[in-house]
Amino acid sequence: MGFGSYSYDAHESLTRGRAALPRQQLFRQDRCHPLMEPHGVRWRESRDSAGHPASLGIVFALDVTGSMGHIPELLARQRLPAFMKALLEAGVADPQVLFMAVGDAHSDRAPLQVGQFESSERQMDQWLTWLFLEGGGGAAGAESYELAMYFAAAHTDLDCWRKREHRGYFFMTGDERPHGYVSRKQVADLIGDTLEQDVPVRHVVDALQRAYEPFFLIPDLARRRQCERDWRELLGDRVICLEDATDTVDVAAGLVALCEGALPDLDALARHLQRGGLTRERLGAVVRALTPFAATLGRDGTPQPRLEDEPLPEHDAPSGLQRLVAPPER
Amino acid sequence: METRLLKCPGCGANLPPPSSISSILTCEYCGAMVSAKGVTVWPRPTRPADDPPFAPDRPRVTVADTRYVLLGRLGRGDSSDVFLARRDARLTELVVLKVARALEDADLLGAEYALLEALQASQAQGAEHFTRLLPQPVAQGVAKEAFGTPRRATVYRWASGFQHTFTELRDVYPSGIDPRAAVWMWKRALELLGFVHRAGHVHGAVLPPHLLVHPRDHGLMLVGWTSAVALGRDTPLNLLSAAHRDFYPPRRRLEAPASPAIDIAMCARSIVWVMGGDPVTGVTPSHVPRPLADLLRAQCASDTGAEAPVVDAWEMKEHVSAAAHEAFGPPRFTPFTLPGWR
Repeated sequence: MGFGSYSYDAHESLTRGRAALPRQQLFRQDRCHPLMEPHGVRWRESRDSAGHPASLGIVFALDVTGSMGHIPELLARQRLPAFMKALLEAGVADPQVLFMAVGDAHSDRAPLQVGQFESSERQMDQWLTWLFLEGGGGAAGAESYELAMYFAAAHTDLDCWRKREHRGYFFMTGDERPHGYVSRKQVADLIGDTLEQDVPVRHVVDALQRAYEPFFLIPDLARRRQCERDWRELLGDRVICLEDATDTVDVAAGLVALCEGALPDLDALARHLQRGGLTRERLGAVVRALTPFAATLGRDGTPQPRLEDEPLPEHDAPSGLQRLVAPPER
Repeated sequence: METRLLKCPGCGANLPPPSSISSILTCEYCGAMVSAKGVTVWPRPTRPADDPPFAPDRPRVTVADTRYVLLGRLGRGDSSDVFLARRDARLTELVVLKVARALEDADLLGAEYALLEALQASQAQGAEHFTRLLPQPVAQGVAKEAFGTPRRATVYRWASGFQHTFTELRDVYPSGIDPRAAVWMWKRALELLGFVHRAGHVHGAVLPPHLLVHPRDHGLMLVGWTSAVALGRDTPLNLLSAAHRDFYPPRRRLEAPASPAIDIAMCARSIVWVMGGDPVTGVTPSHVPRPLADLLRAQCASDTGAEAPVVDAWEMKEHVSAAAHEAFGPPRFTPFTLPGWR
């Protein structure tokens, strides 16, 4: 897949006409679209072609449970063209985007839906709007994110990785924790793979990060506290807390631009977004969301902290604290 | 149970003995995952080696089963050393590692960690905003190196740009910082304290080395939570930093149950000091505008019992805003720089 060329203007006009459409007319599916069924899929491929010699595979795994369903809607109505434009401007010549939908395998009818890697606006948009926004979700504070990661790790093949050892990007939106294990039974039912036993989720992340730069985006600060810590254990600083879900696209594009080195640091990104006409308020929120990860890359635009080259303390040392109350007996 | 040596079905390398019969092992050489029964559960990856390790010459230390690369020491507290570190993995995390230097104070690290976890979970007003300005707990446990004594350690997230303490500010500006900058620092500190008090705690050590400044964004963080006590338990402060005796209220006030007034008073003393003044008397240099100087002196003097101290941080912030307005006119962004910052 991945044929066809991208036109920002065509994409813009495609999404522009939808502002007033109700969600039911935009997303018409009332079950998993037959072409998005993951069962039996061997590979989803992102390939180089004459028109796209330097393909870069990008997966958007979107949580479609409960209130998270408005992110696909946001993308379809207005923001996806902006994402593509931002990538092209940041020097990513041939992005190929695949959409997945994530629900909960314990309670939803369609807990995993998978599109194809596409380069053209019309096809990208088609997969996005074919998503079935089931809106269900589990009760246990966890969704089946691990199945989406498993699918990307085991059933996608990227030329950017295979030919150039250049990792693609895996963005997942969500507001709950992952299950601790990929269930052998769910994998058999939904995808059709035979696993010997359940696979711990951190092993899945291990496999996923071989060909992808994975990121988990939490839509707002209120929801960060119910899942941030668990995700951080898996993905470290690649857990990005947004202040508002409308920033999803700018943040994702910013992450690609920073990782690819298309923009040297956050200051350059801020100037870039400002030129693009982002409001001051949104600009601040995007920069704040990206700051911790940019710091990990050394691209947060701050000077290096002053560090002394010292090892851990070796001996016991007297305390500089005076206890006003005797410490409890040990 | 009979033990037998497992070999990786992918590359034939020996595998370590499994800890239990249902565990899954990862082959160190080819990365395949193998169940304890010897069956591959995850295919051998197409690429054998992972990316080269980060800074292979830097020392490694393990806390709670996670290995970190020590990047260097950020500073030394009263009883612990603080390091910048990153998780030793490709999906990394930049952290601050706090290690007990004085072994007798190991218990304090655990108490501090528990308190910060409670604050992160607080539902007090403004929690979404203010919890980002407090250390965010990552892990705690015993820091193990290849050599050396195991020591109690706690791990917090690194906050980009918050790398200058008041102590360092005074080193850079020996005669004191610009009073306009001191005003925003004071206000940020009071807002943060207001949240902490609402969440039911008193910090108890609002001292120059515990106040961290983000010069570009005019941000302020509060670290060093070992002395914190819960409000409403009628317990006085139980710890004192010997090196910073001048920043504490008089002994008589310290023996009373800890209240927000202690934090507010210590905060005022730190502000006086960073502006080049004397924390005990509250006297500031002559270039500090009168309204601010008067407010600060009254705050430091109030501890001697002359008048009732302000006990609400938000109310105090109103006083600061009023004094700043009188001194400088309407609030205006005044850049504050430190070496290295653009």
